[in-house]
Amino acid sequence: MIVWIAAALAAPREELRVPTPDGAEIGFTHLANPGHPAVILCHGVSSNHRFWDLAPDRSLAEALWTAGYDVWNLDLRGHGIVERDAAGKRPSVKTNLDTYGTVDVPAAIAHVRAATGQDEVAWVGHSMGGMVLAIHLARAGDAGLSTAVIVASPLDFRDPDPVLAVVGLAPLGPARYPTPLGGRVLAAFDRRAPLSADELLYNPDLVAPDARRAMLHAVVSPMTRGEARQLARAIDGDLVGADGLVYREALAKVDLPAYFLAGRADRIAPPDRVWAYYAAMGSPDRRFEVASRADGWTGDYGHLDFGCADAAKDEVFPRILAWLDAHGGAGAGR
Amino acid sequence: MVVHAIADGPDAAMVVVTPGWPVASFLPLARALAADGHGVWLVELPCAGQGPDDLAAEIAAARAQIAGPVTVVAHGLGAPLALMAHLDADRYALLAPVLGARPLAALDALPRGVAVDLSTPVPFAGTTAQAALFGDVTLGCTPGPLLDAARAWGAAGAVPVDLAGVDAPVWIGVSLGDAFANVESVVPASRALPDRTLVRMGLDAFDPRDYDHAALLVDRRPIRRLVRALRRP
Repeated sequence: MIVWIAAALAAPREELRVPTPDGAEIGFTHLANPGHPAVILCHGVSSNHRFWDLAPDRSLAEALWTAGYDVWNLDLRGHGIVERDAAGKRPSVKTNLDTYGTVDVPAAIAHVRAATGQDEVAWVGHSMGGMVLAIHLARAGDAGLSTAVIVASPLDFRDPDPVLAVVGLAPLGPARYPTPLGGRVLAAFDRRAPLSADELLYNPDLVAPDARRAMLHAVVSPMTRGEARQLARAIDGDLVGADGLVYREALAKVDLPAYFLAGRADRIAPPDRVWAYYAAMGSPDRRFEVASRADGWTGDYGHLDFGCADAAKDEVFPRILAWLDAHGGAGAGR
Repeated sequence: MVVHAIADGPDAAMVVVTPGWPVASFLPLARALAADGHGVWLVELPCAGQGPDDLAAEIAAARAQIAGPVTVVAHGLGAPLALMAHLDADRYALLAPVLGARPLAALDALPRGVAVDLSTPVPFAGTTAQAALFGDVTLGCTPGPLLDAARAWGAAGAVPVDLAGVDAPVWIGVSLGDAFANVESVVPASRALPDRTLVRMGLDAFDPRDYDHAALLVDRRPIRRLVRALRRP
């Protein structure tokens, strides 16, 4: 089925493995539009590039390519096409958000700038894909970036709810969390999962059953204990680097135009936690929206709905495209 | 303004009925407070074109009728009105309080006027504006200037209440499912309160569901949490 989906997609896709300065690898699935503005798409924790490229009618990658963008759909080390390196090894279990933000993100930006010859590229990050950008921005600034779209990325963990408090126990778990197995278990339920476990991840009213199963099979990659530890330390506080840098507090000097999307039914990244990221940025050119019925959307979006919901292609992708177009993108002046 | 004496007893609780909301929607909460030993008074506000300051003055007048320490209980727009009244309150218990605001398309879709009848459904985005904002509740007459103020607060991104100056403990119950007193507005704003307890309710608290704006008022679980929070040690 995955082969069928891949064959049906319109844009040609090239897979690339790119070495990082510390000897690991990141991956790109490149939908090429040579000479056109480049955009990097980045997945979230325990996910991979398929989040932004699940199926022909659920693919931000495809939508942006069709609109004229040169799309670089990123896999951070240990995810997707680089779940194992060329020698078959997995990254260290100590790999955490700081690793991604200080090594993989700058490596990705540098590679795309060099490959395209463009001074600046755009970044679209979902969940952890936006959090690692915050780490990069806080430490290295916004050079080389034209704009960012931050989708369901939390950056404030104060006032935790009980489910978030459970995350604090995560470091007690295995070195690598078998989250792909968890995804397949959830996919096995034809109707809503026990204890509403699926509703923690998405709004079942917004995702057709076959797409739901495909999503839970395809978009999940393992999670490391390092990631769990860094997230657990953030509970009832902030995301902090190993040197104590509070990332939310370090963004006031960042002047990057940014568009923030949050979901009314997002239990992983509730809107107030995404709002904190928006409020922290120093950019005067920024926008915050909540995907909610009360805001005129077709439903209340959950965490994974932004890439995979039935209406994402009509509600999410056009908004992202409009922001990119308005900030030096392929449709500038459209 | 009408003050309904629901129950007699020590440890008085003054419950502000949100303008536009049926008094009956506050009865489960009132009864639960009474069953837990509180004296309970329900304050029903008028609907004749009053703005926030007028309504706050009405709430202050109601408070003056109740002797002794009072816990002020409010929901939704009733919460900022109660805080604007600068009451002599022992403490506050606020369900789904509008402490912060941002623009909401469904709120803009509601009718305007001096006294707005919200019982007629307003079509909005495949549902009704009332359902999108508040959930399953049939509202009534709401002072138009109050709705206008709510819209203005949303446009300004803030509710004009001096939260830092509230010198009583404040307990707040919120839920992700509340589109009107939404978490992205309420939670950050509430951090200005010097003495505040914030409780998130819904699936993230292992409840069977998230609570919309109306459900936070009428569902037994949020009510039970509020009542328990008010128990003296």
